[in-house]
Amino acid sequence: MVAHGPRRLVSLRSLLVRGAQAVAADDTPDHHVDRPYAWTHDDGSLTLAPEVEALDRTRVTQCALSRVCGVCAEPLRRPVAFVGTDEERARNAFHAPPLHQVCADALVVRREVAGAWTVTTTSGFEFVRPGRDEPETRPTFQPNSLL
Amino acid sequence: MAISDVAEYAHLTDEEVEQLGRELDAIRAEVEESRGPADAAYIRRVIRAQRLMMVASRVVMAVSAHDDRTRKPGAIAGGTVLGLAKILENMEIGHNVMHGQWDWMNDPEIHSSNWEWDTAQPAEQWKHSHNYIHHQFTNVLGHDNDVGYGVLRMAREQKWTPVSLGQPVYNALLAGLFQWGVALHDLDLERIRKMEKDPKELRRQLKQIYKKGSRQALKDYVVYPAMAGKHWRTTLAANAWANFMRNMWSYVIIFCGHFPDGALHFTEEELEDETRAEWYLRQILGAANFKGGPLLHVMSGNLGFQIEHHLFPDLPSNRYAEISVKVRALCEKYDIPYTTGPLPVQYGQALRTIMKLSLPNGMTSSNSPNPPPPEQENMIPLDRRRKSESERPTRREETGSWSRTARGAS
Amino acid sequence: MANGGTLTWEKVRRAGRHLTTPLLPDDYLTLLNPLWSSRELRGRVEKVVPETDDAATIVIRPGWGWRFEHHPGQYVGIGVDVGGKFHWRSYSVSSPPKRTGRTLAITVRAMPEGFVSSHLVNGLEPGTIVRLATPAGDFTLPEPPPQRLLFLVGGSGVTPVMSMLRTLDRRGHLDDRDVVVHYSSTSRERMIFRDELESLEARHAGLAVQQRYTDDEGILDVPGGALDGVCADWRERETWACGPGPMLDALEAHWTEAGLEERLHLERFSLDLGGEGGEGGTVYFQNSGKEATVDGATTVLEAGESAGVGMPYGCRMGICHTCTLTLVKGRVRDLRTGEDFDQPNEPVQTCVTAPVGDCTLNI
Repeated sequence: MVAHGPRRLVSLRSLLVRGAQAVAADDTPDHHVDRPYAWTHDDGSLTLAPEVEALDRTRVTQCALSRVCGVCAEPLRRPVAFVGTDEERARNAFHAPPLHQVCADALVVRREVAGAWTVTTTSGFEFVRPGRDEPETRPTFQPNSLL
Repeated sequence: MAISDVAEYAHLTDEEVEQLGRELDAIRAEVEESRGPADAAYIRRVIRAQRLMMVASRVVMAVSAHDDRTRKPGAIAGGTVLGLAKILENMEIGHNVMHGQWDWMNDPEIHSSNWEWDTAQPAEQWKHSHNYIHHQFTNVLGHDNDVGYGVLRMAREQKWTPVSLGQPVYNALLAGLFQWGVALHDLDLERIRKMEKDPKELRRQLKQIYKKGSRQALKDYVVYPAMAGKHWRTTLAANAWANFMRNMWSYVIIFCGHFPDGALHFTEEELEDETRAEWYLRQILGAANFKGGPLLHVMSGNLGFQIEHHLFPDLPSNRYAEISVKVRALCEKYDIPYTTGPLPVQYGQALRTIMKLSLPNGMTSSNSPNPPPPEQENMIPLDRRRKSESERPTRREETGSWSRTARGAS
Repeated sequence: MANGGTLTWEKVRRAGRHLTTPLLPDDYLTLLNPLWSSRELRGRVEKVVPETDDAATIVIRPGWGWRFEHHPGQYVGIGVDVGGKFHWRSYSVSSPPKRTGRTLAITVRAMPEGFVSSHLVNGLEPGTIVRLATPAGDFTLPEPPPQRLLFLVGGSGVTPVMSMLRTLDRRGHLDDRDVVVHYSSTSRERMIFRDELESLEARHAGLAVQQRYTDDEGILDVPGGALDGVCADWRERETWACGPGPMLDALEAHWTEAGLEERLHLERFSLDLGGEGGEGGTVYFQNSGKEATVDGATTVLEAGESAGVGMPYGCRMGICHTCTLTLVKGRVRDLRTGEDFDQPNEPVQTCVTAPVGDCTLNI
């Protein structure tokens, strides 16, 4: 018993430390502006670029329907923000999924996309799947109540 | 029989499918452009009525509890109104608001981002399991967990095991405890059973469910009964009755949406490179409506227009009735089956399927219409398992932290 | 509600949530009175008082959670339901802050093509519930106010100044301070708060109000030294100015030239033009076939409105992007940052950009 005492204490402490780490790890978001969710693929690879091909197709659909942010994957808030090129904004159809306003603001100043995108905010949006005869091959988001 | 080629099943050429898609686009555009004050007034009226019912039921129960003559009728009446209020909140308000049907109003108090509904499941998990998994992969075996809720065998393609013999019992339990079934829905019991679930995700989701579920249970089974003092048992029973009513009703409505005969199941090949028009077609074939008066439709969240809801999940629910007239005409024009019938018949068919599929396939016959036999050289063996994490198109692991702060603090 | 009461109420509210979860007690209390909610700041329109043909004061009774702590001169966000949708705009508060106050007032001029301002002036029924945002803005009076003040006002820029004057009046400062108001408006009829200003002036020795009708007299020629004729000791005064952009630009230049810019407080009315202006030019509106020749301080939006083009706009301060149009060719400058936009088919925010030479827009 005596011999085991200290050892058990040590293991108890390491257990506590590990437990604390696990709890802390819980709170670390897996996705943030350096690893935007909708631009990251299932294999962990990531290309952040203004082009639509950079987006992960299934994650875009998921963000659209689950109503979570395409950067941090947390539930959306109001207003909903979209990032897009001037062309996307002019025709009111965006490729990138809905974002939090803060996530969008942080995303557009990133080196890879700087200058290409601006932020548009809305309360609601329509999720429009691509049609066969349309030039679009990806779904688009059409804000319906711009702010 | 699960369908592996929707267009072929419906005997439509690619061009016809696209034409159908354009006509459905036009219906959608028309509703989008005409959304206005009347629609906004509708949802506000429903919300107001629902809240008044909620208050009335609690008041009736509280007041009637203190007199021996009124206690029992008060509990029955109060509990029933409470049940109706919960049904209205879950079906016509919560479900539809969380789809984003009312986001266009730019009203921070009626918005998909912060609506929390009166049931044990956290809104955030519902938006994942229902809005995404169920609506994107509608009736696709191995993807859509709504097919039997991970408990029931609902399609002949799903493997039969002796466990299936207990289906009538599981079904009754699922119906009576439906809110808790829904609460655990996004956990994906099948994956937990197979130890495929990310423990971190599981822990986070359980924490959310615990927080929300305990608040709900505390309200109905502790706080309100405690306020009734020595007659706490009556209030507790009335609240349990209200929750039971809501559970039974939402179970029936949900099972009527996709499991009557005629609503089809699909295989995974359908999902690859699906165009908008093909997606529309799959939604029509995979859903089933039921008929009824305006009151029945409101109390079922307009999910009697399940086909229309699946075509346009984010258009305001009060418009589904008018949309259904047009969609039905389109279905006749293109000779596509439009499954509908009276509610008891539709549920009866779903129930018959549950009973039949508790037995091995060889002992029962299918009630679904038969698709044309697939050409031999193209035949791909069906994968009957539910998909694991890595096999799914994407199964988001992060669900974020559901909390009341966003809603309560402001 | 007293402060102690609020504290207790918060506790009651928190406890009440156990009864109302997942909603808040507020959600049920609004069934009794729509103002009994602090989930969102709300207010009820008590009355709409016409000020001129196209301007009205809207008196609002705020609901729970509102603190009557705005500083005179600040603006407030107001969300109104038009056609089932909530639209948000900001307007200066024209009522003085009062701790015992029950209402707040904003004064709005209906702008052509501005459907929210038109709705506020002409379509708002008393009893309507509106949403409110907390007051903001730093165009305010210091406490205590300086001995000598000058207010230079153009058009509906009078609203924040009115709030300041009413506060000065209530605290007795219109008698113990020296206050000069120079108020320009196109005509006597269009002058908002004219009667009230005249009556204030009659009652208080310390207040002098000068009215100027620019249709007859033209605008005050500040660069030409006309200010000396209006208020000879303007250099010794703390000055607050609110009005159209070009007027404020001229004032800013004049004060800077005199080395007194820190004594001038400006409310840029709806947008903050920190950058330099454009060069001006002719703006062509492709689809409508109209055009307008404007100076470099006039925004493309104002140019379009002056030419009678149905220009879209929202916040008029470069935030909401409602006004964005495609610049077909030419160059415009963002008046806030000085940044130029000249790519073909580039979307531009018309409310904060001015033409640099001739340009064409697709409206």
